[in-house]
Amino acid sequence: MTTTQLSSQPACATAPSAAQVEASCRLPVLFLAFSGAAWLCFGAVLALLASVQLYTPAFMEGCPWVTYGRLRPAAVNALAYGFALQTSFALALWLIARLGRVELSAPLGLTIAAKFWNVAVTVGVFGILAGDATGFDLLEFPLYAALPLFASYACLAAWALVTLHQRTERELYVSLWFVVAALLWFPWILSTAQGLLLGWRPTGVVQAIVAGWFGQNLLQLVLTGSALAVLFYFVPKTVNRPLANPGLARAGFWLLLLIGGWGGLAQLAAVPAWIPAVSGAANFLVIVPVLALLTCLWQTAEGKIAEAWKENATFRFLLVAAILLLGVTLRTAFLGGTSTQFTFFAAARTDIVLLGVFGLAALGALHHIVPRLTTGDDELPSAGLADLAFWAALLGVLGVGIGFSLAGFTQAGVNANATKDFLKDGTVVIAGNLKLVTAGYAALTVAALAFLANFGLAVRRCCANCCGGAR
Amino acid sequence: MSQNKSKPAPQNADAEPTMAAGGGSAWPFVLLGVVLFGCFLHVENSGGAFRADVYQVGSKVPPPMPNEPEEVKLYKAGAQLYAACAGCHQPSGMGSDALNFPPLAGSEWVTREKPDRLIRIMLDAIEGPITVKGKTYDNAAMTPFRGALNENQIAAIATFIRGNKDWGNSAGHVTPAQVKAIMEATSKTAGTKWRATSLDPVP
Amino acid sequence: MRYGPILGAGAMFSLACSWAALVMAPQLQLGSLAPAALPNSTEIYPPARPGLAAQGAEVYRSLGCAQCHTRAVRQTQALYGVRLNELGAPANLVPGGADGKPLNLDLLLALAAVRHVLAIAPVPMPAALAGDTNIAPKFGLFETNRAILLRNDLKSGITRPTSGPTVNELAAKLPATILEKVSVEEGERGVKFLSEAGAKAELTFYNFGPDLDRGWGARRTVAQDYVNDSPVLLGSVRVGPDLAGIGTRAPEKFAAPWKFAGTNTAIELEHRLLVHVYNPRLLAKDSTCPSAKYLFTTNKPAIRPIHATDEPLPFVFPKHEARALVAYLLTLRADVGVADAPVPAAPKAAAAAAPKAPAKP
Repeated sequence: MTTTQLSSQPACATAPSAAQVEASCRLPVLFLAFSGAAWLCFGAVLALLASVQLYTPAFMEGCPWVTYGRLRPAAVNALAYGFALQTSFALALWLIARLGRVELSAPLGLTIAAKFWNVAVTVGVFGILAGDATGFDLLEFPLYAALPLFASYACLAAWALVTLHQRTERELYVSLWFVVAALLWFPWILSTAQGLLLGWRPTGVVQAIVAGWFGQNLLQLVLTGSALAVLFYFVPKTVNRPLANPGLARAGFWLLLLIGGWGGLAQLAAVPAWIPAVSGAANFLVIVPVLALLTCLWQTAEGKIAEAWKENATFRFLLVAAILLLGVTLRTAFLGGTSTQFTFFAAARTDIVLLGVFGLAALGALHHIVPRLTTGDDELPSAGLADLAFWAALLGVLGVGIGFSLAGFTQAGVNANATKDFLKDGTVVIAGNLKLVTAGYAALTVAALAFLANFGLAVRRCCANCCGGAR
Repeated sequence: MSQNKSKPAPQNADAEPTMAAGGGSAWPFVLLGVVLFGCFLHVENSGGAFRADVYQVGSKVPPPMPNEPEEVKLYKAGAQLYAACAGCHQPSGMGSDALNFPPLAGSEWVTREKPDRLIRIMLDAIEGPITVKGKTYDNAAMTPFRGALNENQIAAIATFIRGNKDWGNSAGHVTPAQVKAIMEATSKTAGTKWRATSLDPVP
Repeated sequence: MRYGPILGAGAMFSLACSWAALVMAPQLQLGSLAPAALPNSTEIYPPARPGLAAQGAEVYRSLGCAQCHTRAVRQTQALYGVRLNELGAPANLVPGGADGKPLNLDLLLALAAVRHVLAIAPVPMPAALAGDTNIAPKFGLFETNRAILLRNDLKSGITRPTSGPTVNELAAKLPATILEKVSVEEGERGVKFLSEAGAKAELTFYNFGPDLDRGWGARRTVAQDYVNDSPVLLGSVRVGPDLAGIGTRAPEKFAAPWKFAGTNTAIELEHRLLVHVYNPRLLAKDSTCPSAKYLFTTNKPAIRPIHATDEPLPFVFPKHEARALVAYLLTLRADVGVADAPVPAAPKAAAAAAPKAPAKP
């Protein structure tokens, strides 16, 4: 077959080997992965505490730092900026280095930039808890945290793109399309949104439109794009087949880029009717690229799915992430109209994409990347912990998603019918569903801890090997 | 599966995924076309023609009720703004003989057919002897309103005092355009108060 | 694909498309909105918030109230009606009505055309006017037209009741509701007919929706309502009730309804909101709103205290933030009719109010 010309032989004689590439990645990628997982744990704990306050308002009452209105945005933003974006940088760097067969440029610089990113996120989360939140979903960090955030990102992205430019393998694989798109998209949307919301602020509801546009682009293009990059890398590799039908992947990629940014405003209130109409239509239209991309993956893996599920921990995470991607796309399209406006059903989309589509894909990828960078194996030391991480994460995402969705349906019923009592038929009835949400966040914390424990074991084994001591 | 013994790495652990040659399907574009058609229909039905004032299609906002005529709007606004003059000319428009403030009610200076003299007086004030309704008043204390009130406000007050039927005045209204024209025409002499004699040539 | 820059350019183009459509276009449409005069009025809407309420908006943002409360009212339907305010100018009127009131004969015919379910009674000419050559023919003309109208009814299959209310009775007591809850076309047609007969009629509005039934507002909220807000805290989940109109909400429409106890509704509402901020469970046992006890103190400042209901608690005093927050909440209203979202108006007085003269000395 003619497909092997792009295989394991280096494109040119001076291209570094995989081992060399990974040695250069070690410091920044491991640091980003570890910080990302730690923020996942911390963010999930914050979200857990906030969700308890939804049905037990006396929980942690009396302290303004942990009132629900501050705790929930702190949790969501910690998960988005601390966990999701950091992990996506880790994946991006590793993918660029491996697929481009090039050593990372300035690994120390990258690590320092990553440290600054962490400092900025920490300051931002504490700023939200102190009451300086901006009030815009997913953009709550106050100005004094938002600027360092942008600055450290600029360094990270600059070095990543320099590395990409120096790649020895010139042909860009599908994953790198998504990675480059996400690396470029994020600063553009962040600078636009922060410039318009923290700097020169437009009047009135245009602010809400800008915030909604940013949130949609972040979730649909940056994070889902990173998840797709991971999917397109690991699925063919795991089933040991070439990617079927790259033309389909190309079509899906460009359509996702063109359409993905238009949705997300279908449930915005107090704006002229054309904005929710256009956005709602885009929510439907985005099904087409998602179907195209998932079909491509399906055609690649067809027949070997059960086998890969049994053997490979990473594959399990990725299969569930792909199913969740399809699910959330259909959910937003068909049930994302005015009937579920202002309910938990709508709010759950952020959690499902952040923790489910991206979170599971990222955890799966890290279950492969971390051992490669530490011990050199393909799997983390403890298969038990890897299993625990998978099942806990899956149950966690399902718990959060289903709990919020069911609560949202009840709220939608109350919203539509004025004879229903707001408190008795709305607030009291959803307490049970919200307890499911709490359980979900607890499971996610367990998953994060399991991964961190596994990470620690891998590092310990790696140190032991280096230092030569017999353990 | 319990503790994982280090498995030997699979053969192509260092290999990157590859792409099959060729490929490409038309079905996403066909599907895109169909869904796009549906999207256009949806936007046409519920988009309200991309207007900024349509918040729900089907509930047409009727055109705003025809506004009351401009004279009435000016009159009503002038009734509020008259407070600027009431301090001297009194809320009743009768002025005060004792304090040397001429009346506006029934005043021939106010109800002349053309408002030109009145506008000039409001812009730059008037001093010196002036005969109103048979009595002579001489007061240098009037404040000019050229900078303090804009042409809309001066037109409103002028409309009010000229047309106030309770005072017995029923002269025509004054438009902001008239005020603006006189503001520009007299800009050279702004700051100099008028006198009854200097207003003679004014129609 | 080998060339990274093509990818970058394509990404930038795609982003520019969605940015142009969803950020630039709304900004072009809505960005120049500013506080503006209400229709047929000189009052500016929305009014600027007084200083304490502006600080309260900051407290609202800082405590994250928007995480659970929305400030956007939705409306599912709008219908229209016609109200007759005045019979018309003196040129349209003839004497001869009951109690010496004037009549507008053309108006009666127009009303009959608009309301098919009402009968139209004949109007006899008063004997005293028999000699008046200006007015007498009008009654004859009216009778002719009335006969034509009734013949046309037969042709178009309209049956008018022979007893019951007549248009004459309708026009006798003003202001009268002529049409209720009809489409905008029917409403505008009705206003046109009546205006052509010389009368003064206006289009009235009826707003429907579950949010409106709950008393959360008199109409949907539109972009004009938020031009003074920075940041705009629309909210996205209704864990708690909507707050768009809480400053003017009727007491029985609260999530925990109550009856006004005293005479000063503003002070009672303020007190009630302070108690809610202090501990929501005191007013509504099932409420899951977190209490903000830290905004109150037992040190007595020179400000009036609140006393929590149903429990013998010591007096607590709101700190500045609590008073600011409640002041902000009291400025929230959703019942002012704007051009994009009219509200049902109170009927105007029968005679056009003459501008009042300044008080005579």
